[in-house]
Amino acid sequence: MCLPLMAEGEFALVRDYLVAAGNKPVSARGLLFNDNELYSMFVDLAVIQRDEAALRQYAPLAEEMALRDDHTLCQAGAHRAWGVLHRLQGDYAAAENRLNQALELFQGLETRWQIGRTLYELAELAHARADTAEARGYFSSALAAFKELGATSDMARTREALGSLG
Amino acid sequence: MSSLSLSLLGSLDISLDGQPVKFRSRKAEALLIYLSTEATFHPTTTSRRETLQALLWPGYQGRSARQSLRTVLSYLRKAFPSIGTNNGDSKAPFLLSDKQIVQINPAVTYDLDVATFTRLLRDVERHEHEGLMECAGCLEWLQQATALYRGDFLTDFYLADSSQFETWVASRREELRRRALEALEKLTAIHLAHAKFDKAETLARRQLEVDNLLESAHRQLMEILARMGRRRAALTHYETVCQLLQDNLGIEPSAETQILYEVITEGEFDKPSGVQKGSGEVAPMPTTPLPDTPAHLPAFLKPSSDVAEVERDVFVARERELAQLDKHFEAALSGRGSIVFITGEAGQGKTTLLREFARRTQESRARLIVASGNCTAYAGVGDPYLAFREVMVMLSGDVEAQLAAGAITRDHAQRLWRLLPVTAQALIESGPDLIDVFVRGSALVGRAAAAFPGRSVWLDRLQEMTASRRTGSTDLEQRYLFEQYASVLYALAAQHPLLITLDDLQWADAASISLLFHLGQRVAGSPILIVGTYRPDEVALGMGGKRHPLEKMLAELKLKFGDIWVALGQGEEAEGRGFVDVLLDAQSNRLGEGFRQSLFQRTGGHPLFTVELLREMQARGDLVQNKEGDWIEGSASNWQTLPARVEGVLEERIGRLNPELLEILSVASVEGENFTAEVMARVQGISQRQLLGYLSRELNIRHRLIREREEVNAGQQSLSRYQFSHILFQRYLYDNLSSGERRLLHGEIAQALEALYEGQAGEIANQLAHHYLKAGEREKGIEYSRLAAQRAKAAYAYDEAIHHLQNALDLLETGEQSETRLELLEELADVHIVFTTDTQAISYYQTALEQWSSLPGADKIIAVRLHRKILEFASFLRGIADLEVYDPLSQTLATSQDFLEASLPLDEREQSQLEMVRVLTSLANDSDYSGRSPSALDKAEGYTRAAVDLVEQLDAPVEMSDVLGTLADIYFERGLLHEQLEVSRRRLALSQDPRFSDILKRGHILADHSSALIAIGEYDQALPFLLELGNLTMLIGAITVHIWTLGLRALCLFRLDRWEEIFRIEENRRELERRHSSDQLGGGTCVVLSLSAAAHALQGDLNQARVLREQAYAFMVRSEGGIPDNWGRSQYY
Repeated sequence: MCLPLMAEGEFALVRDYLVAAGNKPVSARGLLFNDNELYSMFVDLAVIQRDEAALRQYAPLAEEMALRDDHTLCQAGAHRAWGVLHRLQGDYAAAENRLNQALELFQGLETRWQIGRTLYELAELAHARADTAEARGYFSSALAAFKELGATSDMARTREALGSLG
Repeated sequence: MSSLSLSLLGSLDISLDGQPVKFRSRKAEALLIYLSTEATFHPTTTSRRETLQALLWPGYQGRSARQSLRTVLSYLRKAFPSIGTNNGDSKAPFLLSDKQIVQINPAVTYDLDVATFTRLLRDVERHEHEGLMECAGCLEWLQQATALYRGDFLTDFYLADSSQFETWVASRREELRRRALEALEKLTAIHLAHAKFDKAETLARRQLEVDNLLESAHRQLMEILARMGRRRAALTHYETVCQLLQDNLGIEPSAETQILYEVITEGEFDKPSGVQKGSGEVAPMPTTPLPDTPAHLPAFLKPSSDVAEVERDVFVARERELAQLDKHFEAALSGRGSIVFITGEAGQGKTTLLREFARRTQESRARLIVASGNCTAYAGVGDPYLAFREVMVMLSGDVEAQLAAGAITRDHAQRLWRLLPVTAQALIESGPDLIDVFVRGSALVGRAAAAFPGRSVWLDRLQEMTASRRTGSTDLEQRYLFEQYASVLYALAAQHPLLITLDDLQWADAASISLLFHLGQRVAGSPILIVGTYRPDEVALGMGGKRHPLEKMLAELKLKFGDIWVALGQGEEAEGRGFVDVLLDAQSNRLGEGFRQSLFQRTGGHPLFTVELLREMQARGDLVQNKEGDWIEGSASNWQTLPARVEGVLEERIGRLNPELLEILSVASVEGENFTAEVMARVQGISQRQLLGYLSRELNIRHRLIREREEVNAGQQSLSRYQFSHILFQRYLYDNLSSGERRLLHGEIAQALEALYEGQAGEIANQLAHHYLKAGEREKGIEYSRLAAQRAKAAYAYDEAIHHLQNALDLLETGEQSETRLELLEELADVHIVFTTDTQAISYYQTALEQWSSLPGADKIIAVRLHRKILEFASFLRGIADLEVYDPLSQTLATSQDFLEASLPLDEREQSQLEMVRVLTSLANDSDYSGRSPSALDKAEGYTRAAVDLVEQLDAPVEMSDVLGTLADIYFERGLLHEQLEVSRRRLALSQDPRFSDILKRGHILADHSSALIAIGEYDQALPFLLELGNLTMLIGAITVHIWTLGLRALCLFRLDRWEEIFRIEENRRELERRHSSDQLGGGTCVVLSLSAAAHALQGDLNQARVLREQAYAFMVRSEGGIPDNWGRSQYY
């Protein structure tokens, strides 16, 4: 699961563990580490680290698994991963499309943290487009979502981003 | 003089001479906290350096840990170079240490709130007063203690990198919180009793600030509000309690709370009795009966009813042993329950000591509940849980017969009766499978209805549950049943301390001993004391030619509890002589030193020998009473003619009976230590009235050889049960019968019992099997042995079931080939596969197959069934057993596979069609297990689809569900998750069929369905199924599975970003951890811990996250015995 390590920011360790787990057959990994869990962790890690190569590698796989199993949460995660990848590649229209799809799915699931994180990515996208007002709006919404959950480090990160907008 | 003050209750506050002390290191504070706190709880113990290093620097290697400790010690020495002592103005070093140990100098004085708090509460516990409610001293101490409790122990102090320290803090925090709550509860009760309602209300609310789910505090608050005249507020508060319990625990209020609500609703607290409504302090008023007192005492319990006087045993000179037992009891009262054993040879007075301890303890503790059970030599193996059944029967208010027989006092009976609603509710919520195994459901409902005619939700639930009694699961594990028993005791102990006595454990059946061991693992954190007696010489002899099961359990308990034995008969000579003196002086006498010495020389102070010899001397006229009523030596007193051994005195005592009485008692000895008057009357051919006269007047009162035990119901009639006053009398009489007489009498007794229990013979199948076996009546012996085996199996008492079946097989003549032998072998194998993983079951099935082939015209379906069972069990063993166990079976498995494949299809009879479904399912499962290769899956799917097609044509929901379960597994293996989900939905619907009565099968389906939903990310949908599964696993005591369920719920919640709910699950898990041994917790623990850690990390509490994550890791290392090299930590969290 690697979830606590991921939450603590031990990304290098998480990556090692995920790679090790990926080398095992599904039956040996069990319910808690099935394909969807595994690939959504890979893409999440890549999104957090802004790792373009990893995003290129895992976003299609994560999406394929999520579509195969009709796994909404993982589909949303895959959309977000594609959105970040497109932004990093400078394809802002595609990025917006993907991030909005992700947001819609997360909102349907009412997963507040994921909503906040997707809003944050939309803010980053707006910032990349030099649309400061829209970026501020998204960051503020993300901050509200994080506050609601008490997601402290995300709140700090978002406040910092808001501050940097001037 | 330097004055040091440490405040640990609430936020940490350390001051020296009134000035706050700041440390350079939190480890220094932690060390100071640990040393000072442990000095309070264990004043004579020092701390080893290694212990402190492991506690504070768990990850450090030897040298750096040592260096770190030295550094921190130097900080402390610098901060407190010397402190005032209790010796006037002098000062002394604060810390003492050498190369091994570290301690706070016992000579220095300092203020520690924890120490003062515990001392004050200890003073209250030890204070000898007329009653707590009236004791001004205790009131003052309680007030001081509760004022010191500013908050939980070290509320805001934690060490990020030491889970050991945090674990230690957590356990102390819990203990101190419990003590504080107890103190607050007492204080509230005192103010309530004195009608100081404002104060009482504040205190009740304070309890709820500490623990808002504490039902007893809610009850106090409701009562306070009602007595203040605020009935509406009290009733509204009840609604709040309901909501709170539902939201947090998913349960209803307890029976006590419901009853209190009804009492308030009916306005029983509205009668002012001089109390001003809403007033503060007014004159004391008499309190109304406690809310846990049922409104309807049955006639036999009312003070006006006649009850038999309880005959007190002769009890003298056991003060030392009583003090030992008291010590254990006091520990239990403070939440450190345990098991204690009184040991000694026959006649040493174990039973007498046990009864006296129970009597005295009950007299001094108004809320104590005592329940007793006895094992008997003639039940023993074969009558599962006899002693524990008696305990549960008492706890569920079945007291009338014992009260009538004088076996218990009215006060004792009333306490047990009042406990009835609590027990009934505990059985409903925590022990449903105990009903009809340990306590008869219909009788329980009858008693409950008598106590609470038409006034309770729980009574309705009990009636409903008993009426639609689901069948027990064949798969339910024995340990789940034991867990239910433990949970019920736990629930009762939450309201009242419990003393459970179990006499003559040397005769206990294996299932009872396993249950006792299970309870031994569970009572440690509760106010429950279990006191058992046994004879070491009998235990050493073993049971049925094997090592006595008690022996192994005793060794395990010793490791857990230490010295838990109170040994009789191992004292000095002076002790034996002291017994003689105290016994003689219990009655007025003029017996001189010479007589006393002679008596002691004769008996050695052996209690039974001494008591019985004195009775014999009185009967012979060697002792007589003078006109003042003092006992003196008779003129014809002659020591030479008195028996020299205890057996001799028993012989003489029996020799005084006239032939008619001797005949009656001899016949009684054949029935056993306990016997039935009506059986004796039938066998002897005399009227019941005449016989009861002999038993009561002659044998009980005059000769004191028997005592009345109880009345039991058999159909419409009551039967009077008696007991030999000591089993040695029964043995003497039985041994003096010829073998022919015994055989005949066993047969006559069996017939009499069978006639008396007509239509209910199953209830005494064990006794009937025993008597018919002894009578050599083969057919009846086999019939009742099989019946007894069925009942034992239904009660998960597998050793006993095997014992009965083996007895039945032994009755068949050597070489006899019969359908009965075949059936018995199959039944024996069926029992074996439930609880063993050895290959014995397969041998029995194979022998049964040999029987089948030797029977001309035997139905083929029998052979198919036997081969199918071999296949199923061998496949199961392949999944779990070592190769050396499984390898020899591979040929057997192949033979059965071939036979089954060749046998298909079976004939058109419905039973054959159902068997065919089972065979196809087994073949599918077997293919599925063999490698999971595509071809194996294809083969498995082929069998499964054939089975599905067949079962679709039959009306068989259980078989259908089993087949679909296999199909779902195949879909999962193929990655067809939605197909898997569809199949699991279908199974869920099937499980609603009333024929689907096996609770565990429903549990499996819920687990499979939840997993299927989680696999496709439908977390929200999975949650209600997991909640239902959690309730079910809690209900049946499947703790490991329950915690796994918590893990899955935590996973769903994490994926749904519902972090706060994960924290609540973690609290729930912690509560379970406190109550259960670690081997019961299982891998679900790691999942909950790690997800809680993740949520803490996301909320920015990285320290707590790391603590939890390391706990998860440590737990897995501990439970798995290490981490396999090829696994990463990711597997654990």
